[in-house]
Amino acid sequence: MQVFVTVFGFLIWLSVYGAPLHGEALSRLYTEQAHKLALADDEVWQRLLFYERHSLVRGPHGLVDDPLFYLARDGKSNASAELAATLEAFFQLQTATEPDQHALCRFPARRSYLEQKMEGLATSLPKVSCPRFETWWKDRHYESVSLVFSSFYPDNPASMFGHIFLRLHRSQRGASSDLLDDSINFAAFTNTNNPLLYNIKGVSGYFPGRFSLMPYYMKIQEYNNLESRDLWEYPLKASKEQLQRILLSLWEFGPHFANYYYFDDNCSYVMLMLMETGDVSWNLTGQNRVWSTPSSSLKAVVDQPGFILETRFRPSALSRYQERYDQLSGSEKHRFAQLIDPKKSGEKRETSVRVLDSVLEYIDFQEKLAGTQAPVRFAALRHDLLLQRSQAGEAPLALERRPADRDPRLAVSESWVMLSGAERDDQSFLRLSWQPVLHDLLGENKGYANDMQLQIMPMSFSLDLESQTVALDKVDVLNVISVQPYNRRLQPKSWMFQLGYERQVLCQSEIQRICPESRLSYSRGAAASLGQGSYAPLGAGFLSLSTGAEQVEGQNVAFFQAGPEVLLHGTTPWSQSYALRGLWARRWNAEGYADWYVKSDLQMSLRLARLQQVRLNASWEQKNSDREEPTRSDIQLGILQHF
Amino acid sequence: MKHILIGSCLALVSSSLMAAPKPKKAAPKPAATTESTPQQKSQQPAAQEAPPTMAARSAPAGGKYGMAGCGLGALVVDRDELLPQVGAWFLNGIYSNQTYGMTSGTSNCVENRSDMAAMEQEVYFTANLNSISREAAQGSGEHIEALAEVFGCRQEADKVRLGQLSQNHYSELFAQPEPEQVLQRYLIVVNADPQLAKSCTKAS
Repeated sequence: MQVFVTVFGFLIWLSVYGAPLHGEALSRLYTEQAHKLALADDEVWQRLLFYERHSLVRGPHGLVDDPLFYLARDGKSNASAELAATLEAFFQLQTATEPDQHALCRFPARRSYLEQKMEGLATSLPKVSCPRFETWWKDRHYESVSLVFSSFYPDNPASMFGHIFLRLHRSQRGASSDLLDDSINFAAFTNTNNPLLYNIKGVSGYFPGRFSLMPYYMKIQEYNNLESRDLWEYPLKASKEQLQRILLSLWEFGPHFANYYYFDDNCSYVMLMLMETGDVSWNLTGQNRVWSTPSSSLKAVVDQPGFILETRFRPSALSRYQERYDQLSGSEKHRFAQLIDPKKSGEKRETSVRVLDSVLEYIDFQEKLAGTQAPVRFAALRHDLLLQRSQAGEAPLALERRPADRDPRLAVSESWVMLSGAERDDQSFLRLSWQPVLHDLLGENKGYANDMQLQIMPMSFSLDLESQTVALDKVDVLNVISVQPYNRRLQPKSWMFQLGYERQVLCQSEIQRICPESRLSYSRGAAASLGQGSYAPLGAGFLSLSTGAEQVEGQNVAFFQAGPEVLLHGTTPWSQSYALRGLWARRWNAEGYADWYVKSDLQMSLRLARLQQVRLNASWEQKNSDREEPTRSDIQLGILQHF
Repeated sequence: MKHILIGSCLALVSSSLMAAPKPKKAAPKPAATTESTPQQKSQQPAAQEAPPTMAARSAPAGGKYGMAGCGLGALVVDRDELLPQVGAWFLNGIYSNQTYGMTSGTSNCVENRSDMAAMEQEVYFTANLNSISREAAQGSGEHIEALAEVFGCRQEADKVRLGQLSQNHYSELFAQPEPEQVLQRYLIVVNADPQLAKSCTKAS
């Protein structure tokens, strides 16, 4: 070994001070040295190549799908070949026409790592000039970095998960404006407006995902104003050196793409991989399960002790409006209503700064005003009121609300299992339920949006101890509930969606009593708070439409049902949450039979600890009233554990 | 494999949700759904070229909308396309790269200021105009403070002064709702004020 080192040392010495060695020979020398040092297996090197280590199906392999990112032909799966190819490219001559194409210009992070690991490399490498990189780097002076979580957005299925990106601070807190900081974002570049194609492509990784770097105010306009999502900022404990390594890796990844998958190689996961290039001791993607969501990514960061320094909050247009409206007195609320009433024409005068400011926030929220977008409904009114506002003088009241309960950092982990004892048709059995993602109506609500449920693939199994059989009873591909009350003169949509399969439901058909059913339902309605205070329940009414098929003796019998549905949801002071649902629908099947379908469902949860709950579910349904036993009930009591 | 396992059905599901008519924001909707950055539409040609370096990517918005007028304002075709366009410029390293025609386009309109400052100011106004107009009428706010910095004055007193001026001159500053117009009027107001004319070095 020692002999080897001596020989290498000598050869390198020769290369530097002795007769000049050819670039090719030099790169071969350093490649051998790197091989001796086993650099290709080094975690740092693999992170620079964006190698994923958690993959179930493949060994370690690169995340980047743009073939130009890996210099070796098999660089995506062979870290050693990539290292050799990198060194070889480093020692090539710089061309005059495309100086910025030289590997040393394209891969400053790899260069810095290899120089640090191999003595002499820094002086052996050819001198190159990288004008583009240098101009870019000159402006990359940042003091610190924050992880930013953009909160759940119920109006859009894919944004319901939230989103994460990075904010780069140009100065210490307060020394310069937050708005003029920069942000790093990873996102899919879509090329279709067809929603069906869009989603199919999104799931199957068709869209290229790319990084972008832009002023933070762009992100504020997009999330706070256009989509009205609160931003939660978490300053991270990261040194300038760590931050610089992240930026160098960003430069390397920058022009390339990775296929974007909704469920794992998504914005948040790739962002974590970029962050991991900052320091080898940061282990953020290691605990990832098969899927990855912004919430689980945030949790990976929260789980690093001392990594998050504090929580800061930047209210959305909706939050700003709500706070301003709540500052108004009764008579001011009346004047507010007069001002926004479209039926009242003529000049509208208002002198109260509080009323003016809340109407202005109302308009900005309703019109989703961002950038230079011109208001449509309230164009003239906004113009008038701004003029009046400027004449009123006075500074606006400060916005001080910090909804600490909604801080996504506090959210419990998104998966849980529940073991319950169940009784159905006088039959007792054990039931095992599992929710992989993300949050349900009765779940621990801290850190999540109010009155929102988003479940992907929740399933339950029945365990029959006597016959020792396990059967899949119920699975939902997607189950969403978004209930937002009418209040503060806003009329938000409330809706529910379910696509699922259940193995044992009452048949509507005459032939069989119990049959499997697949169902797609959508309910649309409105909600209101029934009473005052935080324990006031929320009541919602919907029109529910469902279609699907029940399987009778191997044949699928299609059905369609429509009717009203109600939902009552709330919490009680003794940390219990409840939801009561009732559906009364006319149900037609393909055999020509029609009947009323009635279903009611009560769920209650009792919090034992942060991660444990006791839950009670009771449901009752009736189908086909001509039958002898048209009704059926199901009751279960279980204990739930988050993990 | 896992993508298919977890997701194949969900594609259809969310499609049906997405298909619900949303007349107001029909165009930018797909942008929001995968958390995509605003530049997606205009970046598309660049994506296919798989360009070798970040900075080498061409400025895609320019191809479609041209640089006929002065600066960014000329790029804004309609409200839904504002953010995508401005985003595209920034992705390409707007502050640091001289390869785009945009810089010269801007300096034709605004003389005596450095290209970079002029460009930064136009972009700032374009991306934040609604927030600026509200805070100007209110006489203070973080968009006004940031505006002071964009004009080169970083002192607390200058930020307060800019807020006062914005409020006092609101009707003339925002007489026309285009960002370039507002910027031009702001420059006049700032330069007419003895305190700001002295400290706002990027506005002269």
